Amino acid sequence: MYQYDEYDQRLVDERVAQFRDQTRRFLAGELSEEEFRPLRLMNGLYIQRHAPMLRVAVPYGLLSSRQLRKLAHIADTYDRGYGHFSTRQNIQFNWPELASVPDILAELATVQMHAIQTSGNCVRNITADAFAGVAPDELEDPRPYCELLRQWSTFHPEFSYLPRKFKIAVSGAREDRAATAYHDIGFRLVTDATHGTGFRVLVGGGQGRTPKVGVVMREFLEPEDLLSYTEAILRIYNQFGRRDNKYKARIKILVAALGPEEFTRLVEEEWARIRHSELRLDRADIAAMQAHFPRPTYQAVARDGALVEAWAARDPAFARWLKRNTRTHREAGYRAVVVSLKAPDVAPGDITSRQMRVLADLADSHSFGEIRATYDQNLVLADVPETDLHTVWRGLADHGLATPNIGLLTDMICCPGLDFCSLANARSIPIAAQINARFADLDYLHDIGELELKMSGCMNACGHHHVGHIGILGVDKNGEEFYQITLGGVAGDGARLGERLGPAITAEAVADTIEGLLETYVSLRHEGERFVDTVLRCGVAPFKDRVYAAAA
Amino acid sequence: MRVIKQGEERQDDWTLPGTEATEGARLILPLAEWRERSLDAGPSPYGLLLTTADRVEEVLPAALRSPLVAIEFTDFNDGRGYSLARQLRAAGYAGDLRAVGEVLRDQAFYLARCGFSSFAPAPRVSCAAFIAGLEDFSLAYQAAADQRTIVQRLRRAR
Repeated sequence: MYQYDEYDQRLVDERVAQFRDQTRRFLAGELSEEEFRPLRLMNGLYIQRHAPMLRVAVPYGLLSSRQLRKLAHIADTYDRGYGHFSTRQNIQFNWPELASVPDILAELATVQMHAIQTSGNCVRNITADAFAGVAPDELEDPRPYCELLRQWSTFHPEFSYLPRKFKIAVSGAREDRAATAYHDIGFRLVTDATHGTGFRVLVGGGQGRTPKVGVVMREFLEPEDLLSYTEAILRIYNQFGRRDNKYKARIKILVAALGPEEFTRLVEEEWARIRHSELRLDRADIAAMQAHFPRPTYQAVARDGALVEAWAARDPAFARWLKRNTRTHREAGYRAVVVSLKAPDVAPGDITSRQMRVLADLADSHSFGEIRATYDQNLVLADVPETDLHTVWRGLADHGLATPNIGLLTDMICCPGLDFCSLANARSIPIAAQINARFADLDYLHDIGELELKMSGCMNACGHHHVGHIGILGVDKNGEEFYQITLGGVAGDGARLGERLGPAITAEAVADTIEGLLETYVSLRHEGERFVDTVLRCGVAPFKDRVYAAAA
Repeated sequence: MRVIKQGEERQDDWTLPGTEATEGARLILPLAEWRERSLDAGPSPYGLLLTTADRVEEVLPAALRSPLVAIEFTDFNDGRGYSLARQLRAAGYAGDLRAVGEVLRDQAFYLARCGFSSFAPAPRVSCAAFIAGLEDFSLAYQAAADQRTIVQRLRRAR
């Protein structure tokens, strides 16, 4: 993975010193709340319901075991012994003291970590496919481009006070596992017979109150132009994006208001001016960055498929986990293991310091010392030899990290909701608990099969409910919590927003409603058809009839 | 006005609209007034006052004839002024480019990187603090409109 050189380290250290001084001035009353606000946000610090919340950057979701141990130490020393992984592949701590945040940042800097630009109206953490570098369907590893973008966007002098936040994702595989259509900019690596490898550029996607699928702005962009083109997009957005209403300030609103053609014309005009500036990368710059992401030194493992099969035959629990929680690997004899942070009794995405240390040890022994955070709030050990799978499974299962539910109903994406967040209208964690309690039968879940359930506690959509196969949105009606259900959203290929099922339901009715949806699916499905495909084939009507007829 | 230029505090003769003009003051005028008073082609004696909403193609001809251009921030969060500054520099404006209004120490470094060459901080900001803010970082990742050391250049030279 990328290792800091003396320049990266110096910049992060100088950032710690800067924020220490800013915090001191705020606590001394020299900086007003209004003046301090963007400064703390650009260091990942929110003021939440109970305490500040600190969001630590995990660039494109990649962590070393040493970094994960440091996060465990921070959880124990400054928080309540756990952390929460977010859909931007970052980790959040919910209980730090404001005055201790500079010390936390100083600790992070010792392991090449920081909280830079994890919030605020600036370019946020660049996300990528969690299976980058190991997926069999990958054209090229997206992470070198993510790191080039990370460095370009870090402390960007012109784009630190944008109209609103700005999110970029890069995907390098045939299947889009980075939800590039729902980002301010999504870069898809594509291969073109005449040009070679480059990017398809999508712009103006996003969720929140006005969900939009991104539009293709350019079918092919040479990798050398990555930074200049991004800078041109940001410059147009910075000048023309609305600043009078924060709910209309994202680039998606600007693209829709100007029309994609006019927006593209403005960007291309600006790009023509800067394309051949110092921003243009040369082949050597790209190659130098790619050298930071070498293929691990895979051992020529004796391919013993029979061994894994024998374990699976002997132990149904292992077999179930193998099927649901591991993925095929580009390298023969290896698999990628998804570590479930969706145990039934835990808030989705939460992880204790003890679990972090266990995982760090497993990564050191079995996966080249690296861990990845995924878009759907799980973790990945990307390079596990098949011969180690049983040991890894035992190690994970002993600590509640092997729930065999990846891609199933209980592998929910869920925001912190009203329990923690000061923006939320409704709770989401207790609803997740209710769903877990109702659908505890693994055989039933496995029969239902792939199903993405995503839940947000307010229309800011941090839980990505718009793109859930089943989406749940918490709303407030005269002080009471209600839940709006949507069906048929798709985050990846064939990106699509979910459709409303009907009137919002009460908190108590959520599990019953989902059960009704699942029964309808089972009665309608064709052999091997996923839930979402049945919804797309049959429409929302039969599901609606079932749910609201039962209530009438 | 009180201004920071080349890393030090000084007093100069430039005067913003609405402030009392003393003997020998040089005036900074809003665009419409600047145009009224600068009818001849060639250099104008007046400074040009811009807002963050101004578009570079609109104001560039006037800017290129002015000895000083001031961009006024009514809100320190208004990032448009940063892009306007960079575009003026990229289009060849080489005179003094001044940030006025809600100009605070924690934005000093970024303002300087975008091509501002002098600063009139808000009255509540001490000049010493602002000058310190100009040096918050000793390096930068990305090229901009200043002469700071760029990481990419250091790496390319290795």
